[in-house]
Amino acid sequence: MILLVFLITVSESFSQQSLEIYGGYSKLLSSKFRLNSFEWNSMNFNRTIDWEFTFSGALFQEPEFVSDIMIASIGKKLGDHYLYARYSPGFRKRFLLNTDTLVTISDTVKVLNSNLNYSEKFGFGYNYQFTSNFSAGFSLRYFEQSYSQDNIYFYFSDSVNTLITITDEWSKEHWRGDVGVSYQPFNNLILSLNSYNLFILGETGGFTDHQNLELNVEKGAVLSIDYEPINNLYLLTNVETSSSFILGSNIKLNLFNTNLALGFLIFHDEYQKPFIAGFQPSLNFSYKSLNFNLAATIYSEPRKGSMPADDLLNNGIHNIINNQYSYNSVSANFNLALNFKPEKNVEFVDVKIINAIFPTFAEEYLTEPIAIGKVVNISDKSISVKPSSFIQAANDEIVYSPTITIPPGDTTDVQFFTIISESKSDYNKREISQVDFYLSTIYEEFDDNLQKPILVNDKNSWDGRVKNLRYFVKHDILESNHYSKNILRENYQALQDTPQPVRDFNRIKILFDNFVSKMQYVSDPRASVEYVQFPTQTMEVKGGDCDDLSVAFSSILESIGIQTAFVDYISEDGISHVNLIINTKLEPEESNLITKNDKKFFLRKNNSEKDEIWIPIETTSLTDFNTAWEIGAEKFHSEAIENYGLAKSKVVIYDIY
Amino acid sequence: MKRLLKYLVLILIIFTFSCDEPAPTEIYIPEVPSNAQVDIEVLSPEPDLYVYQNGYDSIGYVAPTPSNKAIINLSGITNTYKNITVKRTSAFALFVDKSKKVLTPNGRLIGYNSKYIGKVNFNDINALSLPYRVKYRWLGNVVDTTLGWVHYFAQKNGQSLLFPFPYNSSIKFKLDPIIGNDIVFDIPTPYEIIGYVRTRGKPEDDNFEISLHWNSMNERDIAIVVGGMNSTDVSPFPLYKIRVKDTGEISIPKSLLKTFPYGRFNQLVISFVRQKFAVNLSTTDQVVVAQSIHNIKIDVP
Repeated sequence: MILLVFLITVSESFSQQSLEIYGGYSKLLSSKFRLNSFEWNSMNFNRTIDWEFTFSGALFQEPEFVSDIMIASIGKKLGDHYLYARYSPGFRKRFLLNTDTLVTISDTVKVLNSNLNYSEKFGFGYNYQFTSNFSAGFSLRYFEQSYSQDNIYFYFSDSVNTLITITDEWSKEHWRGDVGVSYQPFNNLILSLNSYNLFILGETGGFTDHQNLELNVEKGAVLSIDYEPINNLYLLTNVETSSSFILGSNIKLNLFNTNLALGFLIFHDEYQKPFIAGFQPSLNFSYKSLNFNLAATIYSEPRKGSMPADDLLNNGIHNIINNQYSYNSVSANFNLALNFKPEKNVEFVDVKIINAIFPTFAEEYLTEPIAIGKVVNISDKSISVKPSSFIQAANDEIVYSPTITIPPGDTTDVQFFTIISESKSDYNKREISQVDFYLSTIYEEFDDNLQKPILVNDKNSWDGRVKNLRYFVKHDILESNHYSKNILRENYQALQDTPQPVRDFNRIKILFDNFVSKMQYVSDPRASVEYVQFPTQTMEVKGGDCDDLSVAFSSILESIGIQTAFVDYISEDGISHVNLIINTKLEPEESNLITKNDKKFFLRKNNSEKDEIWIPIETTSLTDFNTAWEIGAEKFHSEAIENYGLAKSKVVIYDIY
Repeated sequence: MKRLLKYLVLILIIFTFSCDEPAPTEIYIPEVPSNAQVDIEVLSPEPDLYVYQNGYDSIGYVAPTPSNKAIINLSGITNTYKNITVKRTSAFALFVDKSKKVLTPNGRLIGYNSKYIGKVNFNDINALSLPYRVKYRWLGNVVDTTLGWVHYFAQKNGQSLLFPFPYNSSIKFKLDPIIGNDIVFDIPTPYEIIGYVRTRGKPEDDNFEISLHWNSMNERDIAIVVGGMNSTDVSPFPLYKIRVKDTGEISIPKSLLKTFPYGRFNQLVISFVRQKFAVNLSTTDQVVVAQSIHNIKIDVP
């Protein structure tokens, strides 16, 4: 707004500056092509995806058909940056002032003329997308002007008198710089403010005695409003700091998977007559990466043949392609959008983080998603989407999740899995990290991405779910194996004397007695977060709570091939208790080898569908094996069997493997 | 990459076949009618060979080597210098044998032999039959030579007019040939041309402008002969002739005025010439013309 006020205060009246050879198209209209250039849009608002090439040519300029390239331009999107360059050989206005003076010199007749040429050679543009609805940019354009005038001179001497013609020439060059901003407060409204002739740089030359013929470069600005009141109907207006303005409308039609747009505008120009100086009907057609349009510029007053020069001599011209001497014309515009960068087919609606990351559960995240994204297919075809993610504190590289296919227009839940890197961190402390979620389709680059915070716990953190204690069991399995083997080696002879069927049972007994002899019960060091010791830590500190002791003894047995499982006793108050059941590998008929009390064991089928005897052990009973078995069996029989805990899911068994 | 190459080829084709640019916009200065043309011709291209003079006190313009077999020229001449105006009438008839060239010693053409073919009179006034003398330069000197005969009528300064030039009328021409019957016909005369020269600025200030005005009849072109002379000269030296539409005014191009040899001449003579050709009598070989000439001499400011 400050810029607008500044420009209004410094500007004088000047001609209609923003008329395009493309016709007037709303910035809301196209999702892919740039349907304008510096005239309408000096700040380079665009929706270019990757590369875009544009060729515009004049097909007709009254009174004849022509084929003249007006613009060749190239645009490239680089992230939030946009670069644009155009070569404009057809942006020229040439005047021939015929003085109707014929000079006869030795039978040669020369017509004395004056030639006045204005041209805009090339320009460069830049735009930066600050937010999804706000961008700003600038443009630099190079202009050349020349004026030549034939003059006759009488050459007088003793030997020869003659007339000669000499052409006097003047030229001028300059750069023009403009800036602008664009803001889209609502999906159906875009406001743009662009300057005109804000900076005139690098001026060289001049027309000296004919300065009135130089291109006028008064400063000014134009406010553009693009509005879509109802679907596929667009209204647009440009209001300049002079009284010049444009009013226009577009209608968009979808026919056979192609987009067709009809446009019409009228314009008022301070330096052209009548009040509505002319109008522009236009037709735009786009299909996939190609766009084509035709636009006609028709002036209200007839302009044909020779025109009087007084307006030019008095006022000059203010615009090369639209001035009081411009003819009716038809131009064609061809856009080619090359997406070496993929076109966006899918995008996130949102991503929901399911749970914090527990590094010890690494294996869990291969099968259980860490997050679920809601993804919409914005294309008109079925799209195979490859989701991926990267947790900055836990991943070495992007982790790809299984590909899913989304029908056109549908919204689907997409699961994100991850692989916790062992080398990334020691995971000794909890931290808030960032996780980047990506969606990619057939190309390597991403269609969409989204970042969210995620809690990465330390390695001893546990989510309280008993089934996940198995990951602590597996953590130190080699150390547990060494421990078990050492104990069993010390009791080798006793085990040798034991009958083969109860050899595993005796191993369990020996290992438990040895284990509990060194342990004492200690509660979790932290109350707020569940904390589970790895088996080696329990051995080291010689104590722990029920989770720690169960994990440690399970690890000891599992390391030598004895199957264990956690029993989760869920109480009414939500506080769980955990102990173990252990597979003795005895068959039901061999139960009397270890006990006569059938309440001290229960049967579970193995992979071969044969029953095996499992015994419950209360690992927190740090007395001896028989007592721990007794307590464990009693609790199990009471809560799991008699109170139907297993049936009611009040008691749940989780196998380690 | 193949797709890119395909599109690049398409671009090149578009560039190759698109080179038909629109014509420039033709504009004109509204004060000058678009069909007005100014034809400027140098009258004295070879001053080291021919002695040029225009008709300030004689025939109005000079053609050192007439190319026609017969020339019959009638002139009503008005000479103006400051507040003095003198009117004269001039007439001549010249009959040329184009097979007889007259050359300088080094072989350059001076003219053709002119013949005496009988008595000539205009409006019943006999013309004198005089030797037709021309001057040329040879080895730095002015040499007189006679090409033949010319039938000439003019009163001398101070003599009263034998007959005033009848503008917008006709003059009777009669030839009494040596052999054969008399030939008599009327020669139509033009409207009188009355010129006016307006100057502004000075050559030394580089702002010298001359605008010429005359009574426009909007008929045929008129000729304006510009010559230079010194106050001691008898006749002006013709420089160039401007042929324009009979619109009544013209400005002499500034570039012409800038290069005018002011160092050699301190006076300018502007001759306004309105001619009327006897169309049925003029062919490519013979010219029968009556003309009104207004010579205006001005001092260079």
